[in-house]
Amino acid sequence: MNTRRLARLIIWVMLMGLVAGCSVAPRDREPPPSEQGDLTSDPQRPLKGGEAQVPEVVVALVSDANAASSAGDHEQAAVRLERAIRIAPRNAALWQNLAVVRYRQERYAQAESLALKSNSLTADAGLKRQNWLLVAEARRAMGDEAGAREAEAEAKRFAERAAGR
Amino acid sequence: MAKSTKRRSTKKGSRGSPTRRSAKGRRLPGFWRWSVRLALSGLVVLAAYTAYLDFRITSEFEGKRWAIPARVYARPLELYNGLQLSADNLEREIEALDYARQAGASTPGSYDRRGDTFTLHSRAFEFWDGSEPARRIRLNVGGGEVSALSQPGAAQDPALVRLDPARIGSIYPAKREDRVLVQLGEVPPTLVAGLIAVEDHHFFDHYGLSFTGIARALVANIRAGRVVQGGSTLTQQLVKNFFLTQDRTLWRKANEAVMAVLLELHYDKEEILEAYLNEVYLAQDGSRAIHGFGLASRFYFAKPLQQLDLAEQALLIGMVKGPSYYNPRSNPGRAKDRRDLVLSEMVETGVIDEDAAWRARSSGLGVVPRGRTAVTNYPAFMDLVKRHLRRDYRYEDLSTEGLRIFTTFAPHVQQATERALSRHLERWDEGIEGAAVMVNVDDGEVGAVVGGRDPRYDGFNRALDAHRPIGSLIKPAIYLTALSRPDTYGLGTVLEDKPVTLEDRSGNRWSPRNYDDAFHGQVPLWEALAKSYNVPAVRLGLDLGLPAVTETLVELGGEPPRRVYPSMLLGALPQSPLQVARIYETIASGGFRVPLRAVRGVTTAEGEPLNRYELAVERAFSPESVYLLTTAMQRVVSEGTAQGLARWIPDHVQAAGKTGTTDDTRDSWFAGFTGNRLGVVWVGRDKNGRTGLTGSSGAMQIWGEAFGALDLKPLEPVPPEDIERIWVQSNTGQLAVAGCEGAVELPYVRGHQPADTAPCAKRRGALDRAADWVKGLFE
Repeated sequence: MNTRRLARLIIWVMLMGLVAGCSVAPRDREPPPSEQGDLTSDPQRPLKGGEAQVPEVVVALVSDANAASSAGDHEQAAVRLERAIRIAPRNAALWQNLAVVRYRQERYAQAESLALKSNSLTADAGLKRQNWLLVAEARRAMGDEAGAREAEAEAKRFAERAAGR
Repeated sequence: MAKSTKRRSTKKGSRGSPTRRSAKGRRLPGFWRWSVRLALSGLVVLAAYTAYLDFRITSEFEGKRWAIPARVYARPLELYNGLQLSADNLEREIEALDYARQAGASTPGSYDRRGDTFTLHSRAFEFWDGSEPARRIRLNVGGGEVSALSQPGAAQDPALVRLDPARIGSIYPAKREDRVLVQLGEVPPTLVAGLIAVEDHHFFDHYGLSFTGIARALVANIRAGRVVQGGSTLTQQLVKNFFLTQDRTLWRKANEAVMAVLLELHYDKEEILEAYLNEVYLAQDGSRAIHGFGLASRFYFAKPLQQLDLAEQALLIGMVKGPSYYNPRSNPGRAKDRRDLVLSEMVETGVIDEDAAWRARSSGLGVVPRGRTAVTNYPAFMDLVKRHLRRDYRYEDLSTEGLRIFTTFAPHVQQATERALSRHLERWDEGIEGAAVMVNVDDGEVGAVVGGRDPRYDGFNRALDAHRPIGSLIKPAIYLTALSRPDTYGLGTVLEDKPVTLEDRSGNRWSPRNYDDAFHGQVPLWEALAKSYNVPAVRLGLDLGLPAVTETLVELGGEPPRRVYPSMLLGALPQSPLQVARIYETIASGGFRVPLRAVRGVTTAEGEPLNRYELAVERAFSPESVYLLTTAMQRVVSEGTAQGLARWIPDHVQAAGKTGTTDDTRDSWFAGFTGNRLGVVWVGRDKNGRTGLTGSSGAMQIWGEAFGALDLKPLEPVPPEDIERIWVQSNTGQLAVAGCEGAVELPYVRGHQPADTAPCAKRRGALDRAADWVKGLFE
């Protein structure tokens, strides 16, 4: 599988299940069955979210946000996530989740900024890679192909870093 | 809305019916005919006149009844184990919430405290995103951190509890801005019952007029030979207050009586009572009349009506009869007698029991010395809220539709800021003013705004409107411009601190000097910022180019100067404290512009969301350059001009900041941040005179004391990928190694380390190679 396709696949899976997945407990993390095989065969398991765990206190908020977002109520999801961010403002996973919600709302510029903000709060290569993939997709959606490629190159860099560890 | 508007009648044509002369000697049928005609036309005139009165009174009533001011709320406090919050600050939050201290905290809106253990009983509240039930929770705040959060009696202890938000003010219709409108449900029941007992016993039974009351008054007046009693019902009094004049003619009385009856026909008793409570004249404050119990409560007791105890309620009820005669400030004896009489009346009518009355009688009047009639305790913050909302709402809607406004206001942060500011300003010269803004670093929420020495004064809001030269607060913009060019500048780059002469636009020569009046030769970039040297900053700014520095300033969120002069590099650039907060927020949040927000959202009176002001960020600078700048700004605090902060802020917080002083100490500034909070303080005189205070001896003192009272998270930015730490020799800017003399460890952008290597590092390198060679021999 070429890198580009893999990246697309990963971002797709992320967008489907990230809000619950990357961050909180392993519970509602169920990617679409057809992708299950590819996902597990991917040694980097993007949904793990590395060490960036969501603090216990906001787990319920994030899971509510996930439910709302899955039901298409992205505004409610954002409200919950903002509340979680107020409680744990330095948690990169929360900012990433908000970035995903904005992406789902097709608000790509905010999605990109929030993913970059998430990156600025973490040293976790896995999380950074996800963020760069999200940035790449957001840029592509805005018609910035060159920017998207740059972001993909960054993602690749962190993929190697994460694998090397 | 106004059902009366269609009934506009013609202006009254004549006064009364003209039955002056009877036609003598005329024939009877003619007389009768004329009488009938007269009577009929009289009736028509009377009907028209009544309709006119009806129109007047209902339009007056409707106009006031429909104006429900917006309610403004603080941010709700969220409690969870691990939250940093001292017992004192929790107590501040509870005060703002008006929870009553009560053993066991058994009713919603109460609390109990034993040492560091608090029991809180929150009120149910309908939030934007769902409702919170009333909950009785227990928690410990020993060690400045919430622990053992529990909900006695519940199956499971809550992980997160959101308390109801404190109400911090209202937005009133412009014409009636000086009124604290209350709704009947909010008024203590004893006050309402007492008022009826004293002023209008049969209020719930009559139709606007009370004939027994009139008869009683008539008897009293005839006995005295003049008007001593006015048997007016509450309804009549309300009418009188609507059209307040000194006129006490019989004609006027009759009009009032008719209008009272008309009011009763249109509205129910509760509506009339509520209007009365908001309308009745209760005091005089200079040239301004104090209307309504809500404002009178603030005026006399400096607290909301809901908080008045029985004695205070009785005092206000008593004053209805004669606001100046029974004025408790000028006639305390009379006021007390009147209050006690009211209490007796309340016992007699069964509103309270004798026990309660006895306790109330034995208490003092409780009147505060000077009338405070500000409708909010936080006028500067409310000002920011109104300006924020005015972008999206018409003022009429804000003040009349009963909207609910959820702000970012943090009561204990405001309290700490106010206290620090007032305490220091009192110590300094009279006439020195100050202002402060407090913001959350990552989401840009404004937690506190203080607009001047008296934080309750609703006047000139310096935090928003005092645009003053920012002095050295400009320097981070200069250094950030440099650090964004890592191929040329790093933290260890040596700058020249040698005399320089410039020419301003009109050709005058100008030589910037350092505050200590010395030149320091070669100084590393980070130290030039930490010690706030002027000369290297000006030289650097000129090398970078004024347009580049201006662009950085704008990217940071600052207001650009209309024309760019070199003096801008020393901060000849006026900004308000709020604007400075915006600039520094971009640095504090790691190079992301974050709009400062005072409002989270607005809902209708019924709780339906109208607007949400969401969290948004925008990257403005590379993470590396902002990381480097932040490191240098931390050195301002650890070894530069803000070292004095150590008195309040522990080292491990690693706060970053910048002092600012303008010519002749006219302005004293400090802007600084920790991992979670950003604060900006300005001190100066309104007329721009000298203060004798520098940034560190003035504004920084206030900042330090305020931050010292708050929970602080250490400032530990995550180093971006491309940052590495290297050793640099201070006086040469050359690459060094640990142990070289005068070498400091500094973060650098990877691949941009200094090109030259210091001799000592070369020697070390040779030694290391030698050591390796020796080691190799033995292996």
